[in-house]
Amino acid sequence: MERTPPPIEDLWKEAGFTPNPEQSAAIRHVEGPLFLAAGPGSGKTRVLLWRTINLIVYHNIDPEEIFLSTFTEKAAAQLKEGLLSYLALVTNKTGKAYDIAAMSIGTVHSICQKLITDRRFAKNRTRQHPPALMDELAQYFFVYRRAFWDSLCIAAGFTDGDEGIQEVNLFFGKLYQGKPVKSRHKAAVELIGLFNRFSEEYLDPTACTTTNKILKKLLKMYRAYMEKLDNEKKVDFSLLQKKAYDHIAAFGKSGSIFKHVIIDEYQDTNTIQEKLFFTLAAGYKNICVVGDDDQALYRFRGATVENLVQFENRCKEKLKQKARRIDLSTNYRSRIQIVKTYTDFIELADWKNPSGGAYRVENKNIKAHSSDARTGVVVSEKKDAKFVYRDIVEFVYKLKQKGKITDYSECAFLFPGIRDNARVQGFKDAFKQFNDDNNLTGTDDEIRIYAPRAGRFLDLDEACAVWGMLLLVFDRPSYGAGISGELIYFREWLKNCKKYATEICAKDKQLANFIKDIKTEIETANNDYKALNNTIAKNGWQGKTAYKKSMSRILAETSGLSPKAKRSITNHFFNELVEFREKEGRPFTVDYIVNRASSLDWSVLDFFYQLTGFEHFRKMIDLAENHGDEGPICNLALIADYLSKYQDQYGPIISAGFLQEDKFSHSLYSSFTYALWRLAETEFEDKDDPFPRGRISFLTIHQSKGLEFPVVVLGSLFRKEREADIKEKTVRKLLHKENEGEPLDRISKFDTMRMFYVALSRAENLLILPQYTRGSAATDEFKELIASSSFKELNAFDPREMDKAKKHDKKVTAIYSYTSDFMLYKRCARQYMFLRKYEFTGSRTQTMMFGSLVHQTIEDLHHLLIDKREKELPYD
Amino acid sequence: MTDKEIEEELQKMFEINYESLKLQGGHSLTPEVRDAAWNQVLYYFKKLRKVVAEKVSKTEVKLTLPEQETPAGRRFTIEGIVDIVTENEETWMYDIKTHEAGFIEKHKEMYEQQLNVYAYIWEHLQGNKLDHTAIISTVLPSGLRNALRDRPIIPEKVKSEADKWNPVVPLAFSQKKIKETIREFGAVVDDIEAGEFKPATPEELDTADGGKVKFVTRYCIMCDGRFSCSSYRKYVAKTTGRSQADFKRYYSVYDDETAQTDYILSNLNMDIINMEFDKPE
Ligand code: SF4
Repeated sequence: MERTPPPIEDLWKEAGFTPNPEQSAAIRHVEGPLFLAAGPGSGKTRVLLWRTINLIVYHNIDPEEIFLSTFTEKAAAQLKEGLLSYLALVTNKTGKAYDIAAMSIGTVHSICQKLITDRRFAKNRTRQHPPALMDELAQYFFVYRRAFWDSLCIAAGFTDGDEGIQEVNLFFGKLYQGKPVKSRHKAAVELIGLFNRFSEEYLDPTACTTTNKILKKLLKMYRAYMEKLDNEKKVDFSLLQKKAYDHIAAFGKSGSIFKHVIIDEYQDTNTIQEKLFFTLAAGYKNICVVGDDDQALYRFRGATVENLVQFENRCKEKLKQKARRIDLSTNYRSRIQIVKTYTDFIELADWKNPSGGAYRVENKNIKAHSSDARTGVVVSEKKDAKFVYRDIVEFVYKLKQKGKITDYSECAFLFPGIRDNARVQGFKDAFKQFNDDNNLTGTDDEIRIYAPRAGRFLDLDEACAVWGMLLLVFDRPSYGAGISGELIYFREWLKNCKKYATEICAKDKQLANFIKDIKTEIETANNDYKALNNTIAKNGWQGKTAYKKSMSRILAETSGLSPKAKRSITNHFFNELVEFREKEGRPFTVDYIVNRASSLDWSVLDFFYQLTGFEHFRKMIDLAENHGDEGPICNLALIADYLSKYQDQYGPIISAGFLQEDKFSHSLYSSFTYALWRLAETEFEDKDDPFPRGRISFLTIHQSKGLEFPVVVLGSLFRKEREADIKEKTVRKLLHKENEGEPLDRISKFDTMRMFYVALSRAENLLILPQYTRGSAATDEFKELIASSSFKELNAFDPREMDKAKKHDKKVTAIYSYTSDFMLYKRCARQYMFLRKYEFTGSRTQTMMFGSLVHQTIEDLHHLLIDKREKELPYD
Repeated sequence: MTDKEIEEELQKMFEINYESLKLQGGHSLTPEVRDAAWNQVLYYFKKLRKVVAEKVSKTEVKLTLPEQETPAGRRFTIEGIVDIVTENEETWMYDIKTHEAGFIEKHKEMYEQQLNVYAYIWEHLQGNKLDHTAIISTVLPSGLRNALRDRPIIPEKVKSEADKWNPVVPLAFSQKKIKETIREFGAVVDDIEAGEFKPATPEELDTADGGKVKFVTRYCIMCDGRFSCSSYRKYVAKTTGRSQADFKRYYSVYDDETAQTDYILSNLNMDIINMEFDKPE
């Protein structure tokens, strides 16, 4: 029998949670719109978690009736873990079980995908086929590829693809010596950005008018792009949201599906998302948004902080209800001085809105929970940059020596941008110098940093070595003379990688032999290919000729054919299939047979894993296995990830036909790798990176969102103000929103302030600010801040003022699966490390995804059958 | 709904799940792996619809043992997933696995240990009734897999192979060893958090389960970490009597010709081979 649950306070006690009055009020709020203004470190994840528990357990809300979106999959996973764990706590007391499997919880993107196929929004309750989702890289290739690019341009009314390139670049101001650049890459990247923005603004290209001749054409291109995707049943990330919105908007009762709509990180949502949320919340009007406008970071991806700042007004407009605002303003993260520093800092800009109010949520009254009034912020002495770097490096070393930090991963260096940033390079060099000077290099005490995104990922040692090995096996294609610009540098990079690999091979005979063997294999495949094609020519067949079983004998007798190719041609099972296809009227082509017989047994990813058997690479994995530096293995895992992305694009098979005319090497180097290499300059690589133990992380401020570190060094106090983004201007004009939102000429300042606010609020115990004498030393606001605060200087700071960094578990609770953790680990701990800890992408079996796919589908089947049974046997 | 309609719906659900897993993990499956997954789902339905699928009363029930403590004092939660069937007053608990039935038979003890913990949560913590526990293996036996590879497919052969197949492995459950298992689980959590990741020993690799398949053949061959794995390398060196220098053959990625045939068959794409690459700019 089910028992009544204990009061929620008992659960809090058991979970070791003591909410403050605001948190408690937020958790208990049930009906009507709710705005949680959540400052840094204010425990909003716990509040979200407990609020959801409150709804499910004490207000009988079915988890299926809850929509809960987070900014990352990781955040969603954490919430889910917390829910599961605390709901189980309740179950064990009451005997009532809860099932959150059907809850719509995840990133907006993943929930959108679910909405499209959600039976509840379908008129006849049958599910739709889902469109295939292209990730950013796939979208890039889709637009960039010559054939499609040309067709887009022609559809738009340009004479050809080249004219399109130039006009697009002209529109976006991509000029060189006054003339538009001729780069299709640049044009494609800009265009994709604009398309995404269009989709996120829910802009209808047929309804917009403009006098700008190029823009008119760009609108046509956008239309053609959407049509093409529709025909191929594909969507990109931005269109996925539009599709989901259209889907639910077409369904009359979309406001009555979710009783609660909850959105985290609301400051980073966009227009289409806001439409979606309010549509879903239209019926019950229980919309809860959580966020902090001061931490808005994603305007460059189309986010509009106005969604948050204007939330209360929008509720009045759209829901005819007043939202309740609760401020979660107690900071549980940082020392008093740190909190005071960032709250002072943000006030230094002028946020006033001339037509009343401000462009910021005002009166937040953020205060520290900590009563620790000791020093929390220090500045370097004001010196020439290279001395500042040096001082800070030394200081960090001292902290470790004195045991104030136990592991270097407790200290993070944050930068506005990390790529090609002189400050980043300066600190890197200073670390190196410091290690050398103190004979630390190579010892356990060496200070190591982890900065896979500083500079190109492809420039990292591990990447160069792997690509170099690939180049030893498959040489790069010749780009001829007369190439220019980036391609020259890229060719240099290819050459250097190869050189590096040659050096590694020179030191490792086994590896050199392995490479030699592999090359022989490739040669054999090429010879087979030639020989077979000779036979084909002799018999007067063509590549397209339909292949008959009777031809297999002739092919198999080709002289000089390798045994392997011969076996492939005479393979019994395959020949039965040949016969069958012949009868069915779908014969294979001769070409297909030749490629089949001459294909290699392995893919680039297989090759990569083979490489890890050789000392140079094996050492990196051994390190991790033996509690050492995790940096290299993390990089290897990222490389595997990229190589598998290549295979997603071009398939895993390397056949001799593909090797002809440098096709394969064009696909691998000129197309895929070159794209990675060039896209490195955009935000493409901005994703969740690991934090290897033993290393100091260098992060972009964007990457540090939601994180906290005992010690934070802000590497730079400056960012150049820029003109408002052309996409922003274009969209405002097209949608006649010129007078809405933040003024174009203040956007840059606002964004800079918010970004640094995020950086300053990451520190728990100590925040270190550099003071440079020359160059772009600091923004005006930073200068003012430092002038008006009396921060201690580094050398005056007594490390004793610092407590040892507490290793506190940030996870609410950790969930371990009986099968995929416990049993897997017991079977082989090292395989567990490979699959679960560093998440190496599988080369073939991909067990994890396979298992989930089978399980989830069987679960759906059960639901379907349960549903069906319930309908057939109604309750009497 | 007719069988055909259910199968169509099943296909749709399969695609939906595939796309969303792709989104979450950022990767796709090769077509032949996808097909294998699809066949498991389809034959699960065909084979078990009467016995299990149509009678499931609760699906994917999450069994959670929250707020446990490891020897080192970490808090953790154990999670498992089962399906529940109640019929004629009898309640069955099924765990659906993508492992082979034969393997499960041979490792009964290991799975019993698992089901014991699940049963404990279900019965004692949640206060439900339970009469039987069993594991269902969705892996098609090789006879059936081969019958499905035939061209043309001979329906009688498929049927007779499917009839022979018994995917349900009933296991007894008891409250034995629950405490030990949970303690062992906690120790594993500590080891994971402490970064203990040693491979199985070379001797273990050489040991066959239930007298048949060796660990190395069952697991290592599929493990991408084998090339860099000290145990695997030692095993190879020992069994071939060669020096570690000469492991080329053992490094061959796939020596199963049938598997290779299927692999090429579903992945060789002439459109890609015939693709034209323009000169980069
Ligand atoms: S090869 Fe893989 S499964 Fe085998 S022992 Fe090594 S890590 Fe474990």
